Amino acid sequence: MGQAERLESSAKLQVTGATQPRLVMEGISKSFPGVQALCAVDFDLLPGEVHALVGQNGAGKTTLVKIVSGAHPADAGRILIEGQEVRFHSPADARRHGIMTVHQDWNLFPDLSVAENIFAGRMPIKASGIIDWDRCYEEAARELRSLNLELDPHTRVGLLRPAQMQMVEIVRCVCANASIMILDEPTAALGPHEIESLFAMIRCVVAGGVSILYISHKLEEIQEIADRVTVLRDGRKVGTVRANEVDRLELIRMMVGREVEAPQKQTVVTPGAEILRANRIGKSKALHDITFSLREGEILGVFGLLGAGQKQLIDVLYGITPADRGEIWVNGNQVRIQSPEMAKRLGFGLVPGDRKREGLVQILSANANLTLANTSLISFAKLLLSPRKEYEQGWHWINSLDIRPKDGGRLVKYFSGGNQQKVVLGKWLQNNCKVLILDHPTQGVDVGAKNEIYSLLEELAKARIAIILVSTELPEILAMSDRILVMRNGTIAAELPRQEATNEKLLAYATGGN
Amino acid sequence: MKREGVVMYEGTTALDTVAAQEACPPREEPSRNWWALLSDMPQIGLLIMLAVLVLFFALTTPTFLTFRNLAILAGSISMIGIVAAAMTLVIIGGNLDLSVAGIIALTSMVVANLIVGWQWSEGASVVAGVLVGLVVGVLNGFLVAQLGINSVIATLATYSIARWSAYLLGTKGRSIPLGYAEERPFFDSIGQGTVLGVPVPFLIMVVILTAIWLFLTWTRFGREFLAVGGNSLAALLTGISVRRYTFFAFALTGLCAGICGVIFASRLAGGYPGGAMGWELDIIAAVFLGGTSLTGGQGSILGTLLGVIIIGSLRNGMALLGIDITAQNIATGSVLLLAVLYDRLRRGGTEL
Ligand SMILES: Nc1ncnc2c1ncn2[C@@H]1O[C@H](COP(=O)(O)OP(=O)(O)OP(=O)(O)O)[C@@H](O)[C@H]1O
Ligand SMILES: [Mg+2]
Repeated sequence: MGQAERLESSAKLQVTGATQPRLVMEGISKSFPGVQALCAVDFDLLPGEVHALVGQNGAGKTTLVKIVSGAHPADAGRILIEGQEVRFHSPADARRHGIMTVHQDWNLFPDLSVAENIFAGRMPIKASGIIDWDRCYEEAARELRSLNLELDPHTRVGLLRPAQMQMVEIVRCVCANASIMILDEPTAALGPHEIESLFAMIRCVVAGGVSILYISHKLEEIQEIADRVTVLRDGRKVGTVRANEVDRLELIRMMVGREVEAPQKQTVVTPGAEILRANRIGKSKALHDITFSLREGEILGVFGLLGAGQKQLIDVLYGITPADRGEIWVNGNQVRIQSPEMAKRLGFGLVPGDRKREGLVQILSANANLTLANTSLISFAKLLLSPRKEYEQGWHWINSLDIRPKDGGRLVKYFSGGNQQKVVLGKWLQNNCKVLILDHPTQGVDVGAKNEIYSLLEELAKARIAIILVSTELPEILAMSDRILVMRNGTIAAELPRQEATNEKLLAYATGGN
Repeated sequence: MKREGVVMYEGTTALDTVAAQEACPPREEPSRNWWALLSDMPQIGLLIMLAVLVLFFALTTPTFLTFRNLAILAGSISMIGIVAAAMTLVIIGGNLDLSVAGIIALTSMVVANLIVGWQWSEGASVVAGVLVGLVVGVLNGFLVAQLGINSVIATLATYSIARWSAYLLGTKGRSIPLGYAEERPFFDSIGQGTVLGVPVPFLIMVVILTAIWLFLTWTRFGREFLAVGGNSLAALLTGISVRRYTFFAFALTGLCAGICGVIFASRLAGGYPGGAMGWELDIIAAVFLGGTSLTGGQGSILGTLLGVIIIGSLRNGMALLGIDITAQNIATGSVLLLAVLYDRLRRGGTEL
């Protein structure tokens, strides 16, 4: 069946469908200074449906979602809920209409319990005016059970794993009687197992009649969870298709307008001399007996479920929390890495996992962020800033990473999520470090740009830079690594050369089941 | 079959896109009301505020706009301005320094003591006074940057230490008058001299403000400093020494407070242990008023200068109107509160 027919048939489905859409957006346009973020976009959401929104970085997905959730006003167009036109002036307005957003950076109170978080702001009150704790915990337990979640409502949220936090957020929305839930890249930082349990939960919620607007760059998962997919490109709607009638490649073609090959490391660099060796390093209870070596030009993949100790390993190698056991050797000299500053002097670079908290200075421009790791490169006499050099450096990375819009003078907070990620990455790529640690470097980056990043990493490896690639994304680990470490419970469960690694093996080692 | 689909598909989008481009409504310029303008350019708001104040005092007092009064005003705001320039850096870094008034009093006492009691030369006393300020600043920096003590608590403690040490320096806590001014032409000129009619303290302030402005906007260290203020964790992970910059800001503020203390001693011809009482309020208010905020790592030296002029004019004008110091203090306190609220509103208006 041709694409055009398909579009037509899905249009027909909307016209003749028995159910009335719960949410309709018509002709939504939105511009920011210098950018047309959305242009006459139509979108609709049926009851009990998962409707995915895909598109390249900066296509306008988040902007559309922010308009539905009342965070931005639209320049033009209208929104109808259950056939009634509505106008939102604030997120609270949208919540009153049953629209809730699960943010990617979880808005939970880490020091409160699961139940307290679920009912935050809406605690059940006894007639006497005090909080009814029994009811609070009972109801929370019931909700959790009805969604098949094995979570104790008394647990402190700060102790939960990221996927569980995400689930608590969803339960919170369900309990608030949300009829429309918005998930903006909920799986960007989750591993395959966490994603599975999140999906189980989403199916449960949807079976209860809730509609879900789902944004993701992981196209395989969209085919698994979504009923329909709407593709945006450069702020315009390309089309809406049924998820089970379109394959991955076709979706990519709709998003990018051309074919994109699956990532695969093209060349194998013969690794050079050993540059880093860790000998039985450990950190309190979180990390034990980590031993590995890394050679110039080598890409070492580190895989594991979330919370298997990857974060602690990074912290130790980069001097954020120095190791308290074991030895680290750099270029044949034993070193104690006490601070990131010292790590940087030793030739380390880190692309951190949480771009908002750890990666970016939001109030500075993209150029300033891109050049922050090596400000002497953009100054005269290593002192005075040179706007021209800053612009040239920024321009270079904006082009090689395809950061959009191509305006490095813009504050970095005004860039879309994926483009911000590219800025974080660019900051270290230019800093000619010798060992580059990457923590989920392509999170939130679209398929096309991902490949660009992979080929950049290959270039780096060819330039004899050693790379530690920490990721929970199996395809990425399998495609890029020369060698793979699998972590479990703070130790290294296995070390596999690239030829021997498969999806199943890695997962088996990561979970401990064989 | 598949291929065909693609071709058809690509054909349709090309058309679609063209059609959509035509259909896309031109961006209606959002109504730029006065509030939007103000929140975009905070300094315009400050200029308007200053103009209103000047107009008001010019109309209600006969002397406000006289050359003589303006010279007095310039001299008195300089002391606040010198410290406020450095305080801007402290606040950009997300900290506060409450010890400055104590440092000013202590410095004035040290200088007076050295000149009167120890018969030191003018130059040596001045240098020693400035160094006293630097030492307290270094102590502040050590406590906050190295030991990680909350800056409000740490500088509250050093404030009290500096203030009461100042009292210890005078017999029975009394002030130390310097006596005949003719004997100390150099020391006298620091606070009271003029160059081409411009008060020397004002020139010192301009030099310091310019230096800090140059540092912040034109050096790579200033860039790194802004990054530390904007997101200290990200700066740390970029390999920037957050500690060193925090330390630097406090040490510089101590140094500037020392300079201010010397000017103070020169202008009042003596050391006063109870002097500069409450000045930290004026200084911090001026910085906040200028648009620097504790949370953002954002700050502007030009804004601070305007803030200093506004606070100074307010005090000077009220004094001319015969309003006593108590009411003046209440007024500056209110201005600080308004500045913070305005900052909140402005941020609320542009963010989201
Ligand atoms: N607050 C803002 N101010 C100015 N421009 C903005 C703002 N928010 C978004 N934009 C711009 O609007 C465009 C669309 O951004 P949006 O965040 O919707 O992209 P996205 O599809 O979510 O991308 P990503 O996959 O990278 O998250 C981008 O060009 C972005 O730079
Ligand atoms: Mg987005």
